[in-house]
Amino acid sequence: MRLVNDRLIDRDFPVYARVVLDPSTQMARYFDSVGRPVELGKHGTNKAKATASMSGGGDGKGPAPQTRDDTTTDYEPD
Amino acid sequence: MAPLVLVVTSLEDVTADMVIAALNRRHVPVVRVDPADIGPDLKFGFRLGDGASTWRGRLRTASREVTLERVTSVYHRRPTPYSARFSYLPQQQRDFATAEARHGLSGVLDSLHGVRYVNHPAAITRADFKPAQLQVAVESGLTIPPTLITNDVEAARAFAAEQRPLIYKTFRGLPPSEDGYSGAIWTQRVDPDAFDESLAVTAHLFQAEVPKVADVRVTAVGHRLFAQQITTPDGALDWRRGDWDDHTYTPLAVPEPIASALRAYLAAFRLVFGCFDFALIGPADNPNSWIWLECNPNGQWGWLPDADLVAEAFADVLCEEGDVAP
Repeated sequence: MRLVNDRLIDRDFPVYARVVLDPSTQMARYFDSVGRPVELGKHGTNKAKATASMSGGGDGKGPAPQTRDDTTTDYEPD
Repeated sequence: MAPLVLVVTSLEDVTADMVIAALNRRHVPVVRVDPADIGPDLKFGFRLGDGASTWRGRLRTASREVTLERVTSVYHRRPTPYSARFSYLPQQQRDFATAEARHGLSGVLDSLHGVRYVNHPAAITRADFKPAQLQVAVESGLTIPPTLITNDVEAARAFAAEQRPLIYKTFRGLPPSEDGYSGAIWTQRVDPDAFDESLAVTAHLFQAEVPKVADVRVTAVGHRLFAQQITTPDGALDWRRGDWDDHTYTPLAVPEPIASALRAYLAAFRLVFGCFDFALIGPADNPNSWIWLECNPNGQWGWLPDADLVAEAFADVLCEEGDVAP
């Protein structure tokens, strides 16, 4: 445990407040806190891009805790 | 049979969105399901026997309805854990509901007949264990760094005496702490002089540090390989710790001996898809320069420059017939 580092690095991510599934495309749509669509794109999302190094909801200094999402199958067998 | 792809994923997975977009462009019907939605927004009735020789019946999400017999492919991409769905319950009820859902719903979704899985979750689980990865890599003809797995400080010191410098890497990474903080233990060089009896507490993976000149990520989808050389501005030992947008990515040809070894690796684990990491110790066109590090059977690729091509390759394999891995 002496080897633990911060997972996140300083970087601005697009933030979104709400995500819904588009029934017609079966793709997720992201919105900010006032309901405007947020374009995450393939580079923009902390969820997709960076499970190993950059995840969670902020830039590492913000209030959002760092959260883990790079588990692949630890949750499969629950 | 006309293709219909069941996408098993969580709502917030942009990688799944990229594959779904590729399928939409081909007008291939997609049903996206997060098994953890089980409840009013996800209902099912599956039957077997009495004339039905394979599982059949209806699966209804908030936006789609499908019968199992229409599903030709399953794209399995990091669904939400059931335990999160049932986190509001007391522990015994949560554990019960989780296990019953996992066996009853996922148990059926993972057992569809004549369906191509990309990847099958059981294959992912098997292929996630690094000791198994290393063994299969060697059997496939790939070169790995000399490796020691131990909880014995004397074994670690003896290995360190032969293999310097030495790196330590985790098997699974660091779970989040109780306050939600998620740190990381990157692969890093360690000083054997600091080894002590605390090593006995759990298993540790040590390897000889590879004198690499660059990293390579090979994304394998079906028989197609997408290789990118990754160069970090600071020559980091573990490129994942830096800003991925600061890295330089250069498309690369995979030498045929390495390509055939990767296909053998995928076949051994019955995988259709895998993200392979290599360290390059010399020119990329020399197969002897390629040192295999690991393979993530459910890895990320959405940030890579050739992500659009990878998404199309996923659509290709999801539209193919047959349930056999390459």
